[in-house]
Amino acid sequence: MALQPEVSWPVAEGSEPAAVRSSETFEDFYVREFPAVVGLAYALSGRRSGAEDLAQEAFLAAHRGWDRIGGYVDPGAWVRRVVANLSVSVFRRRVVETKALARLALGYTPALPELSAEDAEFWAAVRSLPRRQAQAIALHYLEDLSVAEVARVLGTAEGTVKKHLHEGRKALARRLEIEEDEA
Amino acid sequence: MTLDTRARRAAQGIHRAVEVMEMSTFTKGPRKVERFDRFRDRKQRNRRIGAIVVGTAIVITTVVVVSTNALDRGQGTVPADRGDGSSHPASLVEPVQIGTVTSSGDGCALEIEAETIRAGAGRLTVVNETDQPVTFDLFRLGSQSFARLEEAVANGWVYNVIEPGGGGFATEHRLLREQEVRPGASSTLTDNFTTGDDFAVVCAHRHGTGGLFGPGRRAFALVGPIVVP
Repeated sequence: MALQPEVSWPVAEGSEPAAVRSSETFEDFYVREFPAVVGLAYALSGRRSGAEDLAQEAFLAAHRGWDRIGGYVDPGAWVRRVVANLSVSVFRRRVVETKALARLALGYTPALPELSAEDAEFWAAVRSLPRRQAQAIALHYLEDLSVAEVARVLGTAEGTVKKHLHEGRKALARRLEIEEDEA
Repeated sequence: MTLDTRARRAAQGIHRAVEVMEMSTFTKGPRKVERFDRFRDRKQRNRRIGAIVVGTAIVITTVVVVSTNALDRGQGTVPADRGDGSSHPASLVEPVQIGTVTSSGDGCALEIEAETIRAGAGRLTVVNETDQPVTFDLFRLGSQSFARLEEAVANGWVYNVIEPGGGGFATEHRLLREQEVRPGASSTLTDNFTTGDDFAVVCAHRHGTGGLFGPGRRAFALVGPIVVP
């Protein structure tokens, strides 16, 4: 499965080679971004045992191409896009889940705890939305990203993100039987 | 409760879960990316195991395919059979050089080179010294039929590859091997020369298209009989 984002990515200003442009080491980037990326994987996949693996897969992809990805304006957005796509991919989720189940059978305990029933119900409702709506909602609420930031992560136009958020919120309010309010 | 409130609360739930995970897996060592390293090592190990498994499977498949093909080829040489039980053991036993059939302007001539002709794999060298292609057809003859075949050839016997018994011979003769040789070139006819049988080589030229029965031949010479005691 391709782990690369589908569109080109903004590169940092300057004419230096990518490896020099990146002022941050992969290690620092990983330490800073990993928790948020695991959270995104957890919200979008709903798999306690597989979310960490999904996040690690995304970071592994980033690590392999760090000379290039480290030179992007926002490598964090790149890795979020990868994990958002991996997490909503049914095939990838099943592969990760199967591996995680195999490890559970060998005595491995997932580090992520269970969510409360109310939170689990909310994220299950998010996951039941169409793929792009679910990704937009998760990025917007989980990471508190603006419409422009969500658009950059997902590689779509801001207008499209607004539409996904609007429709996603409407569908969520209906499914959870709560009042919708405008952000 | 509004959707926004509910969503932000659910987001807090995820953040708390990640914090718990971080605390439970926190490492004080200098390698802050220890978990990543472990994941990468596991992935590389699994990839290596996968490559070994795939490589082994390819090797096993190749060995099986090659052995099967070799077996098929081996079986294929034994019954180079035209339905009468004759076989071609060339690939199993080194054939004995029996002699040379030479086609020249005077017809065809057979020179026996073997001191004694024994049953088993035998080889005839065929040489074309004429200026047109010549087909050398090795026949096993029916009993006492060489004279009849000689007469037919003298009369310009026309036959075909599928049913060489045509021309009044019915199934009396069996065409075992055929070899068309270019002008100035040579080749070989190899087959199993069986005890008690007579063999002969008919030298022929192409004749028409052969119609339904394959390429036609017009015999112009006959050499033999090669008798296997």
